[in-house]
Amino acid sequence: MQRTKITNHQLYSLTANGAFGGSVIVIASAMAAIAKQDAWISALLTPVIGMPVVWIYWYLGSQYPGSTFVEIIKKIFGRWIGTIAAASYVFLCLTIAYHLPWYVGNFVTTEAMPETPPYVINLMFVIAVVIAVLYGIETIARASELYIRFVLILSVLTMLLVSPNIKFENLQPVLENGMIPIFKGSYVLSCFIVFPIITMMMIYPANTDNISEAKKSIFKGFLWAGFITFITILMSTLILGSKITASSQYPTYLLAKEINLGIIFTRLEFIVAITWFVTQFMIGLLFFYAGVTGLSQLLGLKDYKRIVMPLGLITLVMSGVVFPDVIYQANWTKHVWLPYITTHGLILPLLLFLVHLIKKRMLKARY
Amino acid sequence: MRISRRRIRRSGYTHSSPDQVLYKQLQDNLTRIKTDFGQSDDLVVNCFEWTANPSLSYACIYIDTLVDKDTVNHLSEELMKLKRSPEQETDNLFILMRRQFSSIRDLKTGVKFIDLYAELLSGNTVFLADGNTEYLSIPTENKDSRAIEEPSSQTVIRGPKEGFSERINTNILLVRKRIRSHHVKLENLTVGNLTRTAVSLMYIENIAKDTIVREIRRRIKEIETASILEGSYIEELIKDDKYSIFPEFLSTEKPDTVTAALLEGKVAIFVDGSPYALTAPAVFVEFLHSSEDFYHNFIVSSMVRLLRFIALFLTLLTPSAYIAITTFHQEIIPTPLLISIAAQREGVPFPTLIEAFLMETTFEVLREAGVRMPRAIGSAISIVGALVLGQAAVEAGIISAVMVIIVSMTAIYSFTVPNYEMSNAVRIIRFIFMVLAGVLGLYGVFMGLIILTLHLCKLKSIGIPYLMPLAPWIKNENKDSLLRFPLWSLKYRPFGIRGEDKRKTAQTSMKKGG
Repeated sequence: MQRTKITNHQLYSLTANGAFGGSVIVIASAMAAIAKQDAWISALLTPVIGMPVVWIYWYLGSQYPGSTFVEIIKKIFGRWIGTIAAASYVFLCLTIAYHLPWYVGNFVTTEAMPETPPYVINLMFVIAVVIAVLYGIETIARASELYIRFVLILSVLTMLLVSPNIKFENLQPVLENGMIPIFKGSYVLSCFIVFPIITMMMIYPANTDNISEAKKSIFKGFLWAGFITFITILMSTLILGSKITASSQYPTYLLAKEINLGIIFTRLEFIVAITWFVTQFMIGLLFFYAGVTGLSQLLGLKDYKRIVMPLGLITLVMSGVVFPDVIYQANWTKHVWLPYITTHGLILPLLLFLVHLIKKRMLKARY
Repeated sequence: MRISRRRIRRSGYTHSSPDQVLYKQLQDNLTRIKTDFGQSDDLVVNCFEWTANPSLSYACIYIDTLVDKDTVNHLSEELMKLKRSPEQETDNLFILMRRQFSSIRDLKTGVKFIDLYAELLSGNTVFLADGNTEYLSIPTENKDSRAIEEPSSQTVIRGPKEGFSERINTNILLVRKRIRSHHVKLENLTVGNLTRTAVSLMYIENIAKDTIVREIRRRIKEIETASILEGSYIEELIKDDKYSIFPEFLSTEKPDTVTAALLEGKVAIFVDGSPYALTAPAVFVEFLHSSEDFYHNFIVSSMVRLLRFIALFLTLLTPSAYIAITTFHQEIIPTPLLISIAAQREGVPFPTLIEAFLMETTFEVLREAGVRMPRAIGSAISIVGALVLGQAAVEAGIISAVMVIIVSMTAIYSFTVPNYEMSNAVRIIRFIFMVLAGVLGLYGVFMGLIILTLHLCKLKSIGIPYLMPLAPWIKNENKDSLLRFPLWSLKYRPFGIRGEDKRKTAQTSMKKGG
């Protein structure tokens, strides 16, 4: 089957969206809890640490042009182990796909509309995701180009508007607790902005033409996302201080409440909120798309669009029951999400990479 | 012959079997024509005997209502004078007739009934001669039509003020005279089994992309319909996304807009009887461009364009944002403003959503009434609209003054959209957004926007993505989308639409290497 091809700019914007993920509004809190006032150093370090991981993703894709991640896993691991590994990856995508509406529902009911049932909020989100997946990858890619501009412009604008409130004392003392918390922070951040790029593997080698150009696009997207995350964390620490940042659920949202320019430009937190909706929507969409296409390939379906609606319904129902409350979700993120995404975002690609190298070596030795 | 007669009865309005040729005997032909046209009183069949040889006769056939009578009379006189030429002793009347009229342009001959009917129905006069299986058609069409006037829907301050009229040839002339190049190609097609409407495709060779021209031609040829009364019929039948509310062909009344589109590599579609021409492929940003953008200073035009884009967003979102904010998110309004709004809304008995719906619907009704009503009672509507619905409704405490402001702002913003179809689309979508705002607040509005962008991203016009220079983002192609860069910097025709001839500026006028 001839697959729809996307342009390199679209690959860049999809990667950036995938890397932003849902982290932009919440991550500063977790970071500040671990690395305290040095969270910004972790954020600066993450892209550096993440580079080799993203390189592995790119390398795997470049070795199997035209195939999706599920197909790559099957090709490298063989039929049985490959199917199990691919199924586990698809399961990850489908389960995370219903976490994201929960976050949105939770955010909206907490911050803006406490009387609205979260299901209604999740419904809008899931409808948008389902429509996007039904429209297909071409539409998703084009939309991501618009969204990434929107996100970049609004993030930079917010940070500029809030910058008069900077207090440099909040960063001191630097490296109070040594390097260990910083590395820990980097690892946590990687789980939010590096490893989720694995969802892109359902799109990247399969729907791209030019592999060597793709490398540039992927890295560019990744670094942009890293940069914006860094700015967000830095500004949160600079303005709110690490204590408030660590104790608030949505530090960036809190940050935007500090905006006060004249009498008119106050309470611009909804700008942050809509930025976050966009990134949340895009990462939800990427997870869902990866899950749906992955599942259809595992099952050997000709057209993935048939299973979009049922999976969308499952996603909607699950999004209401996945976490009973915020505490549960915080614990889940700490104890389940980190190892879960590391397994699929780091260990699985690393294993694939090694097996691929060994296979290649053996092939070479044979001839 | 018997077979063909049976076919005539069966095929209903398609006159006769398409390949039936004329008979040898004049009387047979005339009987056949009269049978096919039935009791049409405006069909005139005049039979004459040739003065030079009374054994031979000829017939002059035309449709009374379609022809210019002076021309027909003149032709008849000419024929009366027809004599057997002394040098060529031929008895073939047909050849003589043809020779007689050889000075007339656009003389046509043919052998089939179906073609003969087409000639008759386009207002031509047809001559048949006894003993000959050919007809001779002479253009006698009545050319009365509306004069070239200023366009009624797309007005400009600077720039040409000519507008298309209902006659297809006049419209083509208006464009032709703007591009005096032999590369401009014109293709005539006939669409509609019953109306047989003339549809013309116009494009510039090499500048238009072959595949696009071919695709449009193929789609128009595949149209299966009885009637085409306006260009919108064509658009609706050959659109890429048939259920979408957004227009995918740019319709315009202005010949200079069509000319500019042709020069970008687009294809123009003219439909007889419609003062609007369509150009395709059309992208979203084009619907917010005006031909005037290029007639003013580029900085002014860029700013005006930006203003239009902002106005489009505002006309879409102002009422829904107001509903969302006053219903759910009062905290984001600065306190003094909030107090003022709350004070005004104090006596209003409706929720904001109902209030907004009432007012917006009223406005839409006023607008529709303004279009439909006879011109003479226009002032009555404006008095009723302005005084009764605006002032009186506020004073009676039914709606708040802010709501009146919001509705009038929405209305004024919507008039900045240069294309009527686009502003209609936005008008309808606005109501959906109002419901979303009333149910889910700003979150609903925003998710609605996400779905709207997804929909726009999905649309295609003749295979060209609707949001073309923006998504897919094309480097260096955004000089003529949201802004209007100076003419000397617009070196290339739009990517994806242009054919082989990419450059807009001539090689010699280039700044570098010129």
